Amino acid sequence: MKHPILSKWRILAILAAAVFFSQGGIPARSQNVAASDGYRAVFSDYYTPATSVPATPGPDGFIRRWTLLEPIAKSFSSNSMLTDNYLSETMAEEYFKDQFTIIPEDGSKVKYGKTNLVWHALDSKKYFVNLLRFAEGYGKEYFQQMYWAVTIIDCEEDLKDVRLSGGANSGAVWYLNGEEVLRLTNDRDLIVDDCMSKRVTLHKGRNILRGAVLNGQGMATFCLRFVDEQGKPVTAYTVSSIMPKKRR
Amino acid sequence: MKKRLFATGFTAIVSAALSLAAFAQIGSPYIHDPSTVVECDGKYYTFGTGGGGLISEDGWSWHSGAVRPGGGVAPDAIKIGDRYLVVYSTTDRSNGLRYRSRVYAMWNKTLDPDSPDFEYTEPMDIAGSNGYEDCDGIDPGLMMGPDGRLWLVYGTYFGYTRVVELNPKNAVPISEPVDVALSCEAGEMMYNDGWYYLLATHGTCCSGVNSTYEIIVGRSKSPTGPFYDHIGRDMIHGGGKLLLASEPRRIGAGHFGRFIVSDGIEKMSFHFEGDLDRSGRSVLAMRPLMWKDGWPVAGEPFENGNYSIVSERRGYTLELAVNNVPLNGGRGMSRGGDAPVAPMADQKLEDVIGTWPEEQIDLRIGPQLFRPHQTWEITEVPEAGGYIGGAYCKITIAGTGRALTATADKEVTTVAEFTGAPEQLWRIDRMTDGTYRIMPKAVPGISEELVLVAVADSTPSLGAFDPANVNCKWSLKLLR
Repeated sequence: MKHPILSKWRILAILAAAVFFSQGGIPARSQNVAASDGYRAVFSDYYTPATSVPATPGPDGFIRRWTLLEPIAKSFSSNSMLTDNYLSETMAEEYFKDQFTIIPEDGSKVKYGKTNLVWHALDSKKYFVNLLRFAEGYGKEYFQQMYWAVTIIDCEEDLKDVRLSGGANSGAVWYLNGEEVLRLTNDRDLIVDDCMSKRVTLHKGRNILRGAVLNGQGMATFCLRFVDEQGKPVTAYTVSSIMPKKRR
Repeated sequence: MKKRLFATGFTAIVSAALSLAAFAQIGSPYIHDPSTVVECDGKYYTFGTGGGGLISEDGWSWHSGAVRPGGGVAPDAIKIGDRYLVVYSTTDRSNGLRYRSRVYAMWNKTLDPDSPDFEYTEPMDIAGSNGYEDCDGIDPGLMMGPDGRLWLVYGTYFGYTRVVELNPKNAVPISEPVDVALSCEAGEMMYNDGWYYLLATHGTCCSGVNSTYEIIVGRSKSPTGPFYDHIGRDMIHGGGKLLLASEPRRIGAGHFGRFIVSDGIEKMSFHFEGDLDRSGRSVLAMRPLMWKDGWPVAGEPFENGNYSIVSERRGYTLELAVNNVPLNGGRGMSRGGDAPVAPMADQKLEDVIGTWPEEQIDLRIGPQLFRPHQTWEITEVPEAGGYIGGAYCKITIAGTGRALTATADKEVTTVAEFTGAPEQLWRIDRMTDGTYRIMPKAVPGISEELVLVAVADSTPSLGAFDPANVNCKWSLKLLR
């Protein structure tokens, strides 16, 4: 059961965000972040800055390097509203320019309405990506949000008949090389191998995996990996984010 | 079978009413004392009392035509290497001895009477009773143990059932017979997971629709016994755990035979002495053979109806990937105070079907809410043929023609209307653990056998069958 919005926590979050912005960011290279020691500590429990050195999935195959966009507010009261139709309609909207083709650079911005949102390239310390802690860490509201994520997957050869497998709290839509391959509807929890795509091919060279996760109340997370026909993790690829030239 | 020989050469008649198909083999499955079903070059064979037997192209529709010389009663058959060993028994009453009976063995390279290789060897006397002892040496049953040792069990209600070891190369006895059970008929042995099982029948034989024939079982760590039942009673003291007796309109189960389809899927063959839907005739029957707590369990015949198709992976149910239409009402976290309590109506198909796409709808696996998009009607399609022990089924959303179908990309989806295409026909096998394997008759453009799997908690697909993989297992919950 998801808890209703706890207003006192929202207030605390907003206050913390103010402190966050005023003290300098986490990670340090980000321009618009600041945090109390508490938020700094929590954030660092979950993330380290991505580097220009490509990462590899661990033995469990989970993709831990992601470039995450600061969240976009969405209005829905319950995760049970995250139906197929809702996700279709939601993903049909344009939130920022080139949202289905952009390969964001760490620290780059997109304009959503009048707001500039920043992309952050991060490595998750967990097998999953904690979006609530991400938003919290950058001083953003974390309930009723849409979280965009992009990662770059490089393969030395075609990896055929693999499946994108994951879980999310709660709804999510994932696209591989521009095609929707996986959709998680309704009120879900973070469960490994909860949903899988049909068989897909990771092509030799560069592949782009992007998606959006939506969550109403409570924890916001996702985990993704590729698995083979037997459900075993596929790890024969690297994962990277685009870094600014000065840090390459 | 001991006192009455059934007439041979039953005339083929029109197959039973289609509504019976769920409960009995179709075609002309008329036989008494059927031998263990054996597959030979893609066809299935069983032999019966009096000579001859049945052939089936698919294991579901049976017709006379199998050939076994020698007459006599209650044969059995087994494949050993590239040959088939067939045993049967006769009783010689010419000298006034009622129980001087012999078991004969003969070999054949094939069971197909149309094959140029079809030729039985001369029957060889391998066991029996001399007419003076407490044994009637008929009703032979064969078992190949896990160690490659071949065993013959024989005997009837007149005294003891016996076990003797045979040389698997020539069927010649290589041990002295051992008494293992009393007052049994139609003995058959099988091995499973460290135990030898002696199957036999108790009850009145050969009384047609008044038969009380029933299949019982005991088990032992040795093929020569002692075989105890589930309450520790030795079968030589009359013990035996009931495996299968009569069913409504099918009377007198006897002459057990085990057929292993593949790892995790087994069938048991037997006869009902009287099928009330077929003039009380004796008919071949097959049921799923399951195992529970070290004992064989006879599965019930599949029943047409509305089902939840539940994945054993997480316990979620197969459903259309449509918007979940909420039920109106309910009070969430509120207990409702003093408001009057009244039953709520279930969500009905007409409440939601207008929200569904009209053409293809994909599938997912979701929490069970007993909603229309989760309710599947599974019905046999008699004209689609069958497989060993069952008929192909269509699986549709109840109240609609929307049919589960396999796709060329080795996935599953639904189409608006059932057309009878092979990818819309499903083979439903009960597995030995009681769950089900659900397999399309064909997958377009794919030659390998694929089954319905839960590749993820919430995602169905097609994949290779692995009886040890819970992803391949489904439960069918009949919705009343």
